Amino acid sequence: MAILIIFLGLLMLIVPIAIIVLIVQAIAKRNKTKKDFDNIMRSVYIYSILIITLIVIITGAISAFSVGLDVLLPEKDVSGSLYNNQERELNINIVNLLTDIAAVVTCLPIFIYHNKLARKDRDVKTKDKA
Amino acid sequence: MSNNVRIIYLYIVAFITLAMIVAGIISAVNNIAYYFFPDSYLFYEYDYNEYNEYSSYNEPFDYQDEERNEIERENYKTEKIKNTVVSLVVVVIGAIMYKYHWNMIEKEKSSDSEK
Repeated sequence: MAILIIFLGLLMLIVPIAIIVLIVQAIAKRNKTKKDFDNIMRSVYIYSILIITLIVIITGAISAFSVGLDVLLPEKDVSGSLYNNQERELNINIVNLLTDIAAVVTCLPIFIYHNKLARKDRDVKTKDKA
Repeated sequence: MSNNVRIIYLYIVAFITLAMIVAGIISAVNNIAYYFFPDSYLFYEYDYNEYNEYSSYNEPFDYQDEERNEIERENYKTEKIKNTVVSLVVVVIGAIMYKYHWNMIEKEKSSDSEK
C-alpha cells in the first residue's frame, strides 16, 4: 500500500513536469526568436492572472452580497437549540462578509494593473505590425 | 533552451508569490475579524442543563469551570493574533519576492526591445 502511494505521488509529480518540458520544447521549436517565446509566456501569465482575479472578484462580490443580507436581515431561531446561538451566527456572518470584501479589494487592483499591462502589450504589438 | 526555462521560472514564481500575497491578506483579515467577532462557543452563554443533552466533538465547554474557560478564551485570542502575524509575514515575503522577480522580467523585456 505504501509503495502504491509513493508510486502515485511520484507519478503526480513527474507527469506535470514532463508536460511542461514538452510544451516548452514545442514552443521553442515553433518560435524563431527568443522574443516570440517571451511574448507568449508573458501573455499566458497576464491572462491567467486576469481570469483568476476576475473569478475571485465575481464570486467574492456575490458571496459578500449574500452574507451581507444575512447580517442585515438575520433569521430568528425558534428551536432554542444549543447550536443556534444567534449572536455567534451573526459574528460568523460578519467575519465571512469581511473576508469576502478583503478578497475583492485585494484582487481588484491586481486585475486593473494586469489589464493595463495586457492593453499596453497589445498596443506595442499593433505598432510593431504597422 | 536554458533561457526559455529561466523565463518560465520567472513567470511561475511571479504567479505563485502573487497568490501568496492575496492569500496572506485574506487570511490576515479573516483572523483579525475572528479576534473581534469570535466564533468559539467559549464566548457565548449556554444553558448548562441543555449542554448535558448533546454529546459530539463540537459540544460546548463545561461552563461551570470559569477559570479554565477564561484561560481557553485567552488562548483563542492569542492563537488569532499569532495567525495574523504569520499571514502578514507571508504577505511581506511574497511581496519582496514578487517585486524582485517582476523587476527581472521587466529587465529582460526591456533588454529584448533594445536589441
